[in-house]
Amino acid sequence: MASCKCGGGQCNCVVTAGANTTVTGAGSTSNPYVVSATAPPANVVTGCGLTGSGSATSPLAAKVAAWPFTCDITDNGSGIYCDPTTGELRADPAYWADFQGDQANTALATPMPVPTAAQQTIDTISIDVTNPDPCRRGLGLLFREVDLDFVLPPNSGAMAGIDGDDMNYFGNQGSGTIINTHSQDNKITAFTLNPGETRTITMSIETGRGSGGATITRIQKSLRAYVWSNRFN
Amino acid sequence: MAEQTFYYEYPDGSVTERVTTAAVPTHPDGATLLTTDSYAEKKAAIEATRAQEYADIQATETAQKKAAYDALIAANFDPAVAATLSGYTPSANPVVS
Repeated sequence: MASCKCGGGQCNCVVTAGANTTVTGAGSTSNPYVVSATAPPANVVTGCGLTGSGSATSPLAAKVAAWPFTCDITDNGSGIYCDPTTGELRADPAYWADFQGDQANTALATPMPVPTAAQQTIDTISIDVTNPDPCRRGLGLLFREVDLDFVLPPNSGAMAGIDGDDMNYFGNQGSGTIINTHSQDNKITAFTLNPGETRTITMSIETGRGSGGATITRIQKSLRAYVWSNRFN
Repeated sequence: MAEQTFYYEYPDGSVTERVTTAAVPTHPDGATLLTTDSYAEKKAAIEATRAQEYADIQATETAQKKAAYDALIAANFDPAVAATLSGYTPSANPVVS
């Protein structure tokens, strides 16, 4: 090691460790370089989910399927995570779905005169809807339905509606009474819930524009909410 | 999400069948819980009352239409015209003696 200008108990060469080696010491007589090498395992046995032998040409890796989709994996792939509590690998949280509904069918003991003013609330119904997913927002589909049975004498009329919307009007201009004609109105709308959120949804059952002795004999009301947690805009 | 069915009677005698997924449902103010059989009995009574009212209404209206038909016939209207104007058709409303 003449080029290392060794003398005085030390050398000026730099020794760096390569693969599977370590270098200690300073190259002096009292503290010589010591190069240690560790041979890689000759045969690595892998369990489920791993592949490779651990060599430079066949490193240990997660055994995965090829991305089968035409969309971009970077933009669209979900994650694999390490659970710091258990040390296990975890995927994205599961998706959730739920249904909540309430419906009532009331036979009135005494027919109810239809109010003369428009859009009068005669009944309500409520449900508590929960997004069961603690991680994602929930997309909900709300179905609202009202079915009023009207008895319409000649020259009478009545309307039915939901939540401020005058949805239909029946008029009888004939010479005979119309017995128990049904309004049966419905609406389908979307809503969203934050993770784990519970919301009370109330529907108003409305009628009005009553004339000529029009009455209501039955009130049917229904609220149904379907909630799915998912990724959505 | 399991559904439960409840039956109620209100102070005015109206009855309700309710189906809900609420785990701990709140029952309507003033309502009394009914058994399935009691609900069916009370509902049938209401429907029977309504049916009698409707029968009475239709009998009255049929009598009014027949009176109009008879007046038109007495005024020498053609029977088909009298039926159209009065809304009364003799063959659809046979006289039961």
